[in-house]
Amino acid sequence: MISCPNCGGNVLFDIPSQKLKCDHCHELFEPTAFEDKTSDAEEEKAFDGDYEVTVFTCPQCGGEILSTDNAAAGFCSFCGASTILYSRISHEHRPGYIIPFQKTKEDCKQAYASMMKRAIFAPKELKDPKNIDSFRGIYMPYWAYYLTQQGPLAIPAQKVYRSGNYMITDHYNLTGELDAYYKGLSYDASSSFADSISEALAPYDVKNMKAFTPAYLSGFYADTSDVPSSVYEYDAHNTAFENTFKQVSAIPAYASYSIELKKDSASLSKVFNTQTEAVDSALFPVWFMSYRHKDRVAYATVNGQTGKVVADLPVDPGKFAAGSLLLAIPIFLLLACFVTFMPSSLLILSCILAVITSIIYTTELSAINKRDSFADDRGKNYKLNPNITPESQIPKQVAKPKKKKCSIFSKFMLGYYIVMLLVQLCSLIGIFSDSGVQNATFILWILMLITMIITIAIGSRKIQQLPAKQSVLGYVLCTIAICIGFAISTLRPIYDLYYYIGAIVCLLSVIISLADIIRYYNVLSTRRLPQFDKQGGDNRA
Amino acid sequence: MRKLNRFLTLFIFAFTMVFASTLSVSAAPVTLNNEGSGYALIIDDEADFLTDSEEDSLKDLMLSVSDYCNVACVTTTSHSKYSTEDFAADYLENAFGSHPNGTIFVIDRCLNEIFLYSDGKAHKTITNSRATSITDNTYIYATDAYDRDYYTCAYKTFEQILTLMEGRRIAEPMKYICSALIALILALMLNYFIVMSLSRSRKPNAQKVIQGTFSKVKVSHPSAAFVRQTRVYSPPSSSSSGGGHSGGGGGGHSGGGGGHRI
Repeated sequence: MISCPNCGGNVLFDIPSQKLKCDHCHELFEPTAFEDKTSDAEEEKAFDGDYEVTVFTCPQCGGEILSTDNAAAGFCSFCGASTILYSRISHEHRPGYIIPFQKTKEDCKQAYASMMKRAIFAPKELKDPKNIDSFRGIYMPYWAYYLTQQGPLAIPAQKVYRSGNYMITDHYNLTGELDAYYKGLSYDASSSFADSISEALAPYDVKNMKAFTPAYLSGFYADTSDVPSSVYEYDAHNTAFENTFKQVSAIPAYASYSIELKKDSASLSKVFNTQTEAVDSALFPVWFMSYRHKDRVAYATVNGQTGKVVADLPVDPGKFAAGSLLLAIPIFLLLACFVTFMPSSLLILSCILAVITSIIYTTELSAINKRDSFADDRGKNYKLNPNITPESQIPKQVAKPKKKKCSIFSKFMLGYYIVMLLVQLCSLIGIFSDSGVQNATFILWILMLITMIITIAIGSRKIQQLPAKQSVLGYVLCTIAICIGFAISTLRPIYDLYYYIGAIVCLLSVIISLADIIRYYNVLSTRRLPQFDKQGGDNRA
Repeated sequence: MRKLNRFLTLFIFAFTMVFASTLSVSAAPVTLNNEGSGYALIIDDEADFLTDSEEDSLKDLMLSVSDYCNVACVTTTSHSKYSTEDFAADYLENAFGSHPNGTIFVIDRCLNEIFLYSDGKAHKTITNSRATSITDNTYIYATDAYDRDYYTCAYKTFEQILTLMEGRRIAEPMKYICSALIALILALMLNYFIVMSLSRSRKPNAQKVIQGTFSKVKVSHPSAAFVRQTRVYSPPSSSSSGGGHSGGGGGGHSGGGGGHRI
């Protein structure tokens, strides 16, 4: 605790004035005035580059937060447990910089409340004022990279044109002298702070960074750093590379050429000679709230500098069902007034809906798999597998050229597929000649079955990889329903009853699947309860 | 000579009887004018699916329908049309003139289909979707499940046509059940996509991230040096569009309807 030099009262950081303020005599002080004075209870015991703090540890999840205040903390921000955290005095490494909080708790609550207005299906607990009041100001550790790109440029480029029966390609070498730098490219240095949140909370304006002094922490908490700077170095290089590439491509002297640059890990650093000059540790402000539901936890965070809100928003199944029933009324009236389905068309439509549902199902399973295995979190992934190199950890950016090729192919295939589907649908509803209707129906069924087989192949692999077992009832029902639909459509019985039974089985399986999807959505919009082992990492932060 | 005459007379009579028994008997179409409305009704049971008493019963019902429009009931076992709809449209036009205000119900055992076709003002009441609903409700009587009870099929069809003409509603239970289920599914999907788009947070683009940092990108003395040239033989594709032809089309019919396989 920092005491007021005038009256001995508690001095806290005052966000509106950006100064320290005594809560007793209301005197304002510059934070730097308390440099190296973290506790007046005892003599300065700061080691070289360290500062004294109270470390609060959650007895349930092991999560740690730091404070210059030694008042007991009554709940854990990471797992949402309402418990008295263990506290101990410790010496932590001083970060180099800090962005002080610029948004007050009231600003944060207001920003969150306005976001929640749009979240019409969110559980009422998330809108509970008591819960909203539990927002806690936490400084999150970040690595701020200082990168330079200097030296001669030699970028292969080409111009392609036609001359008679020949396609001519002129190859060029784009040259020049590059002078570029990036100072303050930031990545979170805590494994307890999910990358998906920290990336969405960005950007922070590092131009407003101040040199760190522990006085800024007065009245707030700080998370500890446990991820070394090397983990995100590749991402920083990649961001710098992409921006420089974009800017260089736009230079008028180069604009008419098509640059042939492989964006793989080997050429990435070489082309622009990207060098890491320095990595500074910094603390960035985040308002943090957790909402615990059974064995899952959802986080709501507000950028303490910009007020940007990033929150996990689960859906209340009751509200969702009620909202859907309300929305179904006008849709039903429209359908009843303007559309009459032939039983065979109804069966096909039901099966198309079942296929769409299965695709959504698979997408959700993939996302859950990615989230719960921390494949989208470099920091957490490092903690679980410290021996894996950053480049091989998450292939999302490293394999960009390959992925790009793949994505063009997938887009082409998807486009072709959609066009085919539309043509078949048009034939089916009689836009084209009647002669093609039967063939169109058959082709449509084949397309649906192919889609279903691909979906099942991907889905079953994802289900096996899921860390926790998930029910796949809807998935199975959809597959069975589509097979029944295909059988009925192939046999072409005269009696409508068969088509209606097939369609209703399909539609009911779709409803069950959609209920499953909402459950999955809730799994996806919450997180596994954290279990921290705050050891190792880079204690420079 | 007398004996020969008797023999010849007997032979001719016997031949006539035998020959006549091999010929199919097709009853002449029943045509009746509704004095009050000026519309006509036709029952053309070419396939001989209906008995005389059934025709009479149907005629009474169709007479009520003819208060509103021309009306025809046709059965057939062979025709040269591509579809039952084409057959119905052509029959209606031949019977009542071009684009008449009328409705025709066809039991077509050639293509195994029943079809309800309407044109003119009648088509506004018996829309394609309603025609589909009616034939969906009545096709079952023309199937083996009801021993091909064509009379009941036709009678129920004209009953429902009369219901519509009188401004009342016909029962479409499956239409409403299926519409309700589809509406519920579409609502669930729509809400899901709304939740997805509103709830999931998006990462800022690289440009926004860079804006918050100290950065500079400068290239001095930019130039492009020619290295080499490669050429690939690739003649332009000769895709001449050719003549083609315009016109065509025409014909067709303005009305519409709905049918069902039987």
